[in-house]
Amino acid sequence: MSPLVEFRSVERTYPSRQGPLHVIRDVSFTIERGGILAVVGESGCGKTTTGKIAAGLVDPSRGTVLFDGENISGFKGPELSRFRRRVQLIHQDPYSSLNPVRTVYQTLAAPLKRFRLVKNRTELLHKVRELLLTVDLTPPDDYLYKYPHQLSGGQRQRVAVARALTVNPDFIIADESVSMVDVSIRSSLLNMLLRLNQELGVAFLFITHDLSVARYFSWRGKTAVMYLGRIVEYGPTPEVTRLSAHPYSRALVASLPVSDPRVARLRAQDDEVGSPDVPSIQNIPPGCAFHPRCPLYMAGSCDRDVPELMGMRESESLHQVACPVVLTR
Amino acid sequence: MSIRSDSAPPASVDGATLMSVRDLSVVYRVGNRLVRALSNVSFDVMPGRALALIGESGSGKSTLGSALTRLLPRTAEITSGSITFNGKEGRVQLLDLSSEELRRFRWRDCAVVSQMAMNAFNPVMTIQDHFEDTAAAHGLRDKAKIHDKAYELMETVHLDAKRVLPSYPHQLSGGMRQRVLIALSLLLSPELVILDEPTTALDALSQRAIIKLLRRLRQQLGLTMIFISHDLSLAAELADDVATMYAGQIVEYTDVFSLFDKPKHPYSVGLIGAIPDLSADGASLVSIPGSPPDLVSLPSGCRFHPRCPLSDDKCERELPLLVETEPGQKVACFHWKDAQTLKGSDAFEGRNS
Ligand SMILES: Nc1ncnc2c1ncn2[C@@H]1O[C@H](COP(=O)(O)OP(=O)(O)OP(=O)(O)O)[C@@H](O)[C@H]1O
Ligand SMILES: Nc1ncnc2c1ncn2[C@@H]1O[C@H](COP(=O)(O)OP(=O)(O)OP(=O)(O)O)[C@@H](O)[C@H]1O
Ligand SMILES: [Mg+2]
Ligand SMILES: [Mg+2]
Repeated sequence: MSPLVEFRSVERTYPSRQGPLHVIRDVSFTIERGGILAVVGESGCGKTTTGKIAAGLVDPSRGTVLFDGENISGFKGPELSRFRRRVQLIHQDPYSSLNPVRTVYQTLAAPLKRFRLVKNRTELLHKVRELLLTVDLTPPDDYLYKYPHQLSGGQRQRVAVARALTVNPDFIIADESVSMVDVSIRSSLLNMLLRLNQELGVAFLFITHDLSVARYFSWRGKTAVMYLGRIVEYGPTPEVTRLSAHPYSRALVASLPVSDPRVARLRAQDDEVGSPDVPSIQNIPPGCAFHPRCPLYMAGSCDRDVPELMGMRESESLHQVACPVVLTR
Repeated sequence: MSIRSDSAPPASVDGATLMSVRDLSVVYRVGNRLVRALSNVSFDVMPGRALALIGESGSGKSTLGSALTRLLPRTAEITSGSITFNGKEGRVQLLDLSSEELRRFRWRDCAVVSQMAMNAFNPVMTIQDHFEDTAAAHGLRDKAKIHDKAYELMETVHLDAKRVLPSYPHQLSGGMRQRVLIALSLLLSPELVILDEPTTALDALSQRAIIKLLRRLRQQLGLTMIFISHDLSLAAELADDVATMYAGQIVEYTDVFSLFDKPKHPYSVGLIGAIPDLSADGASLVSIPGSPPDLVSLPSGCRFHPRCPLSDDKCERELPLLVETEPGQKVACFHWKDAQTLKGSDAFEGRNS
């Protein structure tokens, strides 16, 4: 059986005054039915663009995206409408993705009515209340008739999550969906989404800037680390996060924030070492895009050849890394 | 009348503070209901220090940030209190300022980086235009100079100025927009910067870059900062002092080390206990059982009592005040002496399991 989602050498460029911007380059991955893929990486590396392409909201400039074995760019009419129900994107920015003139109730009721998922008004109200409870907006009646501007950041984010749940999707693209909530609510949201995965088999493309969140959420799935539009490391989450191989992934792990003021202050002292240059998709460095920041940089090869994702040696697993220096060690 | 009068009575305000907030209450009107977003909040901000406001989603952090610069929406009302700003140019009572005076106060004395990164931009203006606009609002019209300054600030926040300045907001990623806002807030060299969730959209490396940048700015410019964040690691990294908010009140105010070593409010104990242990594989996450109260009909007594393992009859009846336990440390809990007993216990576990 074909995987649920498949990216085949997907590229996306945007025109700009200084020439084309290569936002996504040669991105390939698969997500099985009920599978989870976490995408992590630096701000601006193309995570949101990847998510929008998966949701069919942005077209690839090159390459194909298959959903259930079919090219999504060919969907039209009823097929497209079915795709739109089965695939839900939770936008990164809940400040601009919720319609400002709709109350929470209207926002959640609209898709339930459109896809005829409830029989009558009583059932509708009941379902909306239930959804609010699911995302910890309690008591639900306090939120039903509020407009987005009357909600705090984390409350909006949870309304956006609830909206994605209205239509019982098969595939959810969650773009930074827990970034605005505190640890306590974050735990319960993540656990709630994991239950959808485990009990109902909902597949996830889980986008986050936070490696520790990725690790928790996709522990049984896969993780892709992106750098300037390319996947530089890919594989089962325990391996990618515990045995990170790519120098960039290792840097991400090493800079995870610490929640101890003394450790944080000690670490501040060696912050001067290896401070990042400004990475820019305007002029992506030749060869491996990470080479100007890389501790393993080897002149003559890293700045010339674009490394391909290859399986880690002596490993039976699917753990892949795009760094010949690491691979030949 | 001059708005900046050094001869203003010192009142209860210590001369050394940069900002003093006393008894501040804010309500939002929704239909005929009142949402009590802030209740009798008092605290001081010392010059050169960094204060973190932490607390659960909906606890009133952004409302407080907006109130401090009078940026609340029209449906909000400040029902009590005072905010005194004691900057280089003398003392001002924020709640007495006219809108013209406020406009000058914002950005130049005190800048805010709002949580709504996208809403803060005008979609039809480039980033460069935003810099020019902000400068022009304060009478600065030398375009070349503003351009240079914008360029410099872009580099400070690790953005590619050549590409970003001519871009429109929608052409930037979420994290890039957030960094643009931080740069913009520094344009007029304010004394106090309020940053609402400055790093939430950023990966660990960019977060570190921003944290490093903010540290440097504090050292070089003596900048005073208030951060608003639900992320305790940001407080651990950057704050000198931390105010913990719960349901519109400050329940604990202390230096950052004491908070992490020995939180005194049961809610702070719960928050710190909920920090995931990243070294643990596939760690399970802990949360504080129950939900924050309904701000329309608040519980009697201590607002945390329905969720608190230490609560008793008194907590149900009486509202504990924020009292000093040691110099520089305040807590609003009758049982703060016992709070330590909650640490590491499973009193707070099991919400979803
Ligand atoms: N419509 C567009 N026009 C031009 N450039 C764009 C457009 N959309 C995105 N970009 C650029 O593509 C790059 C990747 O953006 P994207 O939003 O995918 O990043 P991201 O990884 O989600 O970052 P963040 O973590 O900050 O949200 C950025 O450099 C951005 O400026
Ligand atoms: N304009 C408004 N009208 C009515 N209620 C509001 C309005 N703005 C905020 N609220 C309510 O006031 C409370 C405090 O909101 P605030 O935005 O200050 O929270 P916060 O601590 O910043 O939360 P978060 O971490 O989620 O951003 C919330 O319960 C929110 O629903
Ligand atoms: Mg993004
Ligand atoms: Mg907020």
